[in-house]
Amino acid sequence: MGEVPGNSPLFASLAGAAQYHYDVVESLKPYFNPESQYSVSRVDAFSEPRIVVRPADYIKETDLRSSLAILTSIEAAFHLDYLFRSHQNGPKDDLSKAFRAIRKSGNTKPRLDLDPDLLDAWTKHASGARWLIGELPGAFKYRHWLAHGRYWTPQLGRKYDFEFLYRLADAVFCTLPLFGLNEA
Amino acid sequence: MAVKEFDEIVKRQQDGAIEEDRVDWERERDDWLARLDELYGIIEGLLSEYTSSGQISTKYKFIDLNEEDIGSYRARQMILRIGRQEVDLVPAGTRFIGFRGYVEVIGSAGKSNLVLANKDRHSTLPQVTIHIPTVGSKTRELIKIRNENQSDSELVASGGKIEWVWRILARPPARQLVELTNETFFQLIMEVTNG
Repeated sequence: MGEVPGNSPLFASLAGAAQYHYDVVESLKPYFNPESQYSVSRVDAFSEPRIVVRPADYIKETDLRSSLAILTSIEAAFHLDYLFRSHQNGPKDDLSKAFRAIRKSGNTKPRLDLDPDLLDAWTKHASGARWLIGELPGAFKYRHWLAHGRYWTPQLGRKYDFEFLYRLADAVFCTLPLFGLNEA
Repeated sequence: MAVKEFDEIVKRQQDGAIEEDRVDWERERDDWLARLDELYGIIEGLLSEYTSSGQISTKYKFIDLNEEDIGSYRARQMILRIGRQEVDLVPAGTRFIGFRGYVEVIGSAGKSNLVLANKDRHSTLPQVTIHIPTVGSKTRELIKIRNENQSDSELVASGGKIEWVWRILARPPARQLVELTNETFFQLIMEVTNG
């Protein structure tokens, strides 16, 4: 197993998310430029209350939405892998055994953002993955904030945006042996 | 039950703290700030023809950064003034998935990133080998991307020698790390300013 090939469904899906994100961002620029032939008059210009819209706000909002989409795909990947490994007839490696122990303890649906057990097992049993797995709790703190209304100021240990999260997803999908994705 | 859970939490936190203690974060921060000055020096050099003629001006201001493990500190932000356009080089932090630092280049038309990367690295994908062993049998190698089993940051923490250089990060989904030359830097400036 090597690098995820450029024509694999996994890469296509992630690359497609990037393409979509940047196409939307680029299309917003002429949309807001009155000199552009692609500039669009807002049909609700006389509606009340008037909402003042700045292109930078739209680009920021697009970044937040695209970030959530990427984070949910990372979450889904780990969940699929957990379901496969924790099955009673699953693989015999140490990580899968640890997952079966988690499942046996009654925690049938461990969540990446709430349960440390799942990521702890990855850190313990996947040698060389500690530094990458270590990026996930912070990212999922951000995902929690994004998915729950953004009504508080999150205390994050770094700045998150679409590009960082895309690189994180790319690294996770290409280097971790996640069943259901890049592992047969 | 509560006592057992508490024991596990304490142990987990201790294990993490021991691991983190191996890294001298103060030194990491100082190295990063020195590399940042080095980057600004490179850019001043790339733009010297334009700054000496007054077509482009540069100035700096301090911004506050706060990173996990390192804490709060101040770093210099570079501001390029090109006619009516302004381009900000904003230091964003030391951690960016296997890189040792990154700087956002922000103009009126977009954003790009510069990263401090291992000179031998040409892709954004980390150079790692990840094994999941099976007790009682030989180690099963599931994924082998390249021939290293540590991230660049871990290699540095363990005393490994790496030559660090500034590279331009290609926009996703591209994975290339682009060499920083006057040609590539001017291209980057044109992209973020719609020039």
